[in-house]
Amino acid sequence: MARSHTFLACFVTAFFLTGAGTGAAYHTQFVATNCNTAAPTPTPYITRSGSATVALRARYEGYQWAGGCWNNNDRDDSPNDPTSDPATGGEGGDCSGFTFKVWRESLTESDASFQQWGMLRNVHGPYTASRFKSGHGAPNITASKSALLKMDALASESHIGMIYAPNADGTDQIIEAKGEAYGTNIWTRTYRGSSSYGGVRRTGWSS
Amino acid sequence: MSDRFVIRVAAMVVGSLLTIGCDTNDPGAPMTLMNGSRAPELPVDLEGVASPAVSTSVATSSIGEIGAGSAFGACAKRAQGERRSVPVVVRVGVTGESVTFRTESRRGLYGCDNSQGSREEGRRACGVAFGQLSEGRLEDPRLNVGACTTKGGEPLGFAWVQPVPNATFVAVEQDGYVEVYRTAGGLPIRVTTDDVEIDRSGATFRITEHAEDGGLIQQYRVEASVAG
Repeated sequence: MARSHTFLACFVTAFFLTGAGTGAAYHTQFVATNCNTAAPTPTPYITRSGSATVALRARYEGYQWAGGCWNNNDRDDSPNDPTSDPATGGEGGDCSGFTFKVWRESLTESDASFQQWGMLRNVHGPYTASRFKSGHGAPNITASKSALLKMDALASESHIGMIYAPNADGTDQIIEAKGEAYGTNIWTRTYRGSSSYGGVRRTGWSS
Repeated sequence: MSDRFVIRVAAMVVGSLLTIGCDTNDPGAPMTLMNGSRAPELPVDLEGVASPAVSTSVATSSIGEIGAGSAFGACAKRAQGERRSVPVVVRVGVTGESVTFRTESRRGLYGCDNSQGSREEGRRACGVAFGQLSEGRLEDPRLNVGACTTKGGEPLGFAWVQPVPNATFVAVEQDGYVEVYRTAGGLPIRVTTDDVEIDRSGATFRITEHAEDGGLIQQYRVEASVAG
């Protein structure tokens, strides 16, 4: 009897240890399995509301440092990746990669045209939040925070999110790829009132 | 002495001279830096570095010493809301130059990059970078690619390297030579590479770290991606 208890205890311990090991195996191979390197399609114009629609497809999806590939199944297919590791190959964009793709920008910074990237096209683009904040790239300019419109962005040195809708109290509903623990979603934020954040605009909207 | 023999000897002499000429014309390491100054002499031979090596220049100063109208003046303004720590480290390499400084809180690291290529109108530096420090270290090299290019338009990448404490020199492989950076100010070193992949917003840095006597400490490759 004692031996069977010992065996059971060992079995249960081993079971949970194995489970823990599986839980820590973050390599979901999401990018390797699902994503592509297809060329973007040039688009003659894009509206701010059209851009919001593009952004909403990433809502509830994951977050991947240096990433830029997601599907539209409303869940993070690679949760709990280690942060700040571009090699984990998980689902989602990071904040600047998400913005780049939603704003339909080009890999060539001097090119201000609109480029439609498929959701499953794994692309981050050349901009960091810091560079967006400084208005780097031909399509991007800095803008007064008081003048920002839907799908303009608020950027700090380390983060960027787009304005989905302003709130009456001066806060904004921000659509953003927030972090590994949060994924991509819309949250109410006070970025507009923060001195760390500046306004950024993608130019060339058709309306 | 036959004519054939004379021709053969003459051909050998001409061939030898051409070979010598080729050796003489071997560009080796560049002698001048991006700002036109002569590259400083490398004080030691670096173990394990076979390619011609060129030493970059490094200077430490305060923010106030950086001219407001200089390429890096605007960079310093980016951290206006925060107390900036000294020193500010200014580096000049063959194709790129940079400035790096830390906030007094030691939680943030700022950088600006500059190159010889064309740039957006009115912009002095071709890139900016910011990294969050955790216990003094960056979790990401904060790669900048896309806007910095050589005079000929080839893309350049800039990233921070964090050498081990006993390293004095960091050598980065370039096309045909090695660029050598001396550690300074206890700050990560902003290094340059011409091995850039615009399509993946990434760059590769092949690095060796060396002690003060040139001895090799470690050798590694950084596959950096634009992030965050």
